[in-house]
Amino acid sequence: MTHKLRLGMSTMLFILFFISKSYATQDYAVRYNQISCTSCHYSPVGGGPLKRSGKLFQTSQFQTTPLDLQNYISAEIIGLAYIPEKPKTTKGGLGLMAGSLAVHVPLTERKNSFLVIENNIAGFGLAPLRDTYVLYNFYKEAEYKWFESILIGRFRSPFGLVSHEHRTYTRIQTGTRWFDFETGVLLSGTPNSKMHYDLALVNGKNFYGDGLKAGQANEWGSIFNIRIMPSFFLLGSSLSYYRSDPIDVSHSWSMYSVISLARLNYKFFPATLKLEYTEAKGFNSILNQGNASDPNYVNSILNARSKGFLVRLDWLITNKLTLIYKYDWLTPDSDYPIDIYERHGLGVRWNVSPYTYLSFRSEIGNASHPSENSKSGQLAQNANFLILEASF
Amino acid sequence: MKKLLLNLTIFILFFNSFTYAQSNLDDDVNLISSCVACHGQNGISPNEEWPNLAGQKKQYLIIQLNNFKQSQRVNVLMSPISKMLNEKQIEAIANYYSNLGL
Repeated sequence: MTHKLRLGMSTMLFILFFISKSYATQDYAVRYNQISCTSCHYSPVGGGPLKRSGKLFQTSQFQTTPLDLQNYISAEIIGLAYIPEKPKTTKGGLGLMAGSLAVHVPLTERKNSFLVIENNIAGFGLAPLRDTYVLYNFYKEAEYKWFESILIGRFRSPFGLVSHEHRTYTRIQTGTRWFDFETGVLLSGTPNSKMHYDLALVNGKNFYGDGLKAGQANEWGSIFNIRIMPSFFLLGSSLSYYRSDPIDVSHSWSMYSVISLARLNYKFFPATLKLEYTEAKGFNSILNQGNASDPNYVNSILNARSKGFLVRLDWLITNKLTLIYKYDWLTPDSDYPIDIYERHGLGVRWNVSPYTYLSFRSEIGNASHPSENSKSGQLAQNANFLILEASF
Repeated sequence: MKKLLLNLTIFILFFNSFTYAQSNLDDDVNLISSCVACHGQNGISPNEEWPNLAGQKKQYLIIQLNNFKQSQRVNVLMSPISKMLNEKQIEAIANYYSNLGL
């Protein structure tokens, strides 16, 4: 297939999908004044299996099905068609990112504690064990308390803007991609309707949760996240610190905001703007996991302090179609700010059926470091991708 | 970084003032947009667990929204939503749904 033909097909798909919504967790949270993710999800971090209220809300544009009314099983499939600029030299094609099955059962009659197990049985190898924990809620739903819940097990990192997207620079830069999970204890609280915090004590970084490893016992990390939602916008900040041994210390911080223009004035501009700024140290090795072109360049900046920035606009064209613009920027070594990666992405997300979303995005990538500019790595390349998400 | 914070502050201040200007318009579309996701555009809920609001008595709706707001009635989704409504907005919503025919 020639590049022109591929571009033509992508354009056609873009136009085709332009007739139809979007879904994004933080968009809904701010628009409907939900400071706590547990309004819809089991996990206080957000993401992962939905509670009954979340399932009903997810499918609220459609008629209820029996799947909404059961509260024990969830499943998710994320399929990807990825077409990079140089498909012959870079990985691409069709793949299944996730084929996950989750079971969630109440452990007590009061339904204040739950067992959740989610396994990615048919998706990418880096993400086998996902949300798997015991969750104990100290109080009833919708009550505001300093100590709301404690979660023990494996969970998403409560860091920055949680995203399903695996190639957001701020997530790569801080080791908090969609398949990076933490193992440990998470304490969360929502003292009032405008504030939420998470505090986690976890195992060391780069732990896939698939077994115990030699030297792991002395590794540990800590993550703190706090967010406030005074009005139509949310402001948050996260800190992470990992200590693997005396010479391997990694840390990062994030400052983020979600601004619901839809809550401000739905008629005028039904959109959500997301902003995130991050700084990190000790995570640059992730760039060598198929992202950068030149491993020697990455190895030379392994201990550098990086900076990243994300802007994303989700604009509801109709209640089932969202137009998405995303800008990503990363300086892997802040001592050399001229060396950057950046991407512009434009696409749409369509709510096809109660449980199905289809996204298409076209991205223009750029890298300024001479050895990265060869466009052999994924970050520097232009790319088109199509993502199918089906979950209940 | 300082520039970024300054720009963000200006942006938030600008839109905050915009909110007050718009709220004076008492625009039903903006208000009802928070309700229709669950209770339907025509006040008929698409699922069995959430109530229809079309034709519901105005005073009943005002009382229930105030109960959610004051935590006398608790629901995981409704409680936070009601806390962002003021008295005038509660009345406008109740008015809108009570006037919808079944």
